Amino acid sequence: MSAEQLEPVTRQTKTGDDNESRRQLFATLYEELRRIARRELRRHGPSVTIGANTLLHEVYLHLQGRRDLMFPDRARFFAYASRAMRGLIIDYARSRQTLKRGAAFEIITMPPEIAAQAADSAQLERLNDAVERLAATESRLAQVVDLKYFGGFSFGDIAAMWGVSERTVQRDWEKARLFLFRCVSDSEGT
Amino acid sequence: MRKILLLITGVVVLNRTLEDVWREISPYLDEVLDLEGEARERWLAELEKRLPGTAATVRAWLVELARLKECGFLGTE
Repeated sequence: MSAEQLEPVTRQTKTGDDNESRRQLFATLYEELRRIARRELRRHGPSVTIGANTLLHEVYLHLQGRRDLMFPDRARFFAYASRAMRGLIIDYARSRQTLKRGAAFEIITMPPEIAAQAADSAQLERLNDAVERLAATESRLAQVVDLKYFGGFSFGDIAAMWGVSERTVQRDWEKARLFLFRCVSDSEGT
Repeated sequence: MRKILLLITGVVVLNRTLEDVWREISPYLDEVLDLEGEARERWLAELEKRLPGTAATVRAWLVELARLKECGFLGTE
């Protein structure tokens, strides 16, 4: 889908209150969103057992429920969608952990697969917190993380979406990695 | 949150947050990450003359970045 084809849709969503244009945007970018959803779910392996369609459906509801959001361009829409998926996956992983903790029986020895899932969920939460902290400090770097790491877009894709050089995106990515690593290390140390 | 430690000697030590450090070095990282090899080394040497503390921090972060790339933190490019 070219930027020219999308332009009328993203222009409509700039008003922030047009549900029809959001539906259209979602439908237009559905295949790419599904690719992001599948990739995200694959990354988390067995700890997240929801399907890509369910995740997309939740993102759609999330999108429809936020009338204050505006998507002046494709990059911001994908960054938002990737971030929403990340949040939903974390909520899901967290609820599973809560269920395990609240189980009516006592687990004397935690099976290895449950221990691995718990570790994965904790790591994901730490990374999520770090990305939120980065967003509050330098929002553009957090958007690169959402698009590159969570969305699976290449430097070239992001550069084209933003109208900047690939080198600029690569530099932002390197900075973001540094910041996130420090955050994650700090939280692991506390 | 910024923590202030008041030592027995009366010396106040500021334990800077990541955000504090980031605000200081982020513009320098923008510049240095665009450079490679000798150009990067020359740039760092210049910064050392003007702001030795900042230059040391930037150097440390560059070493860390190289390590992160090696170990594939957040995947490989």
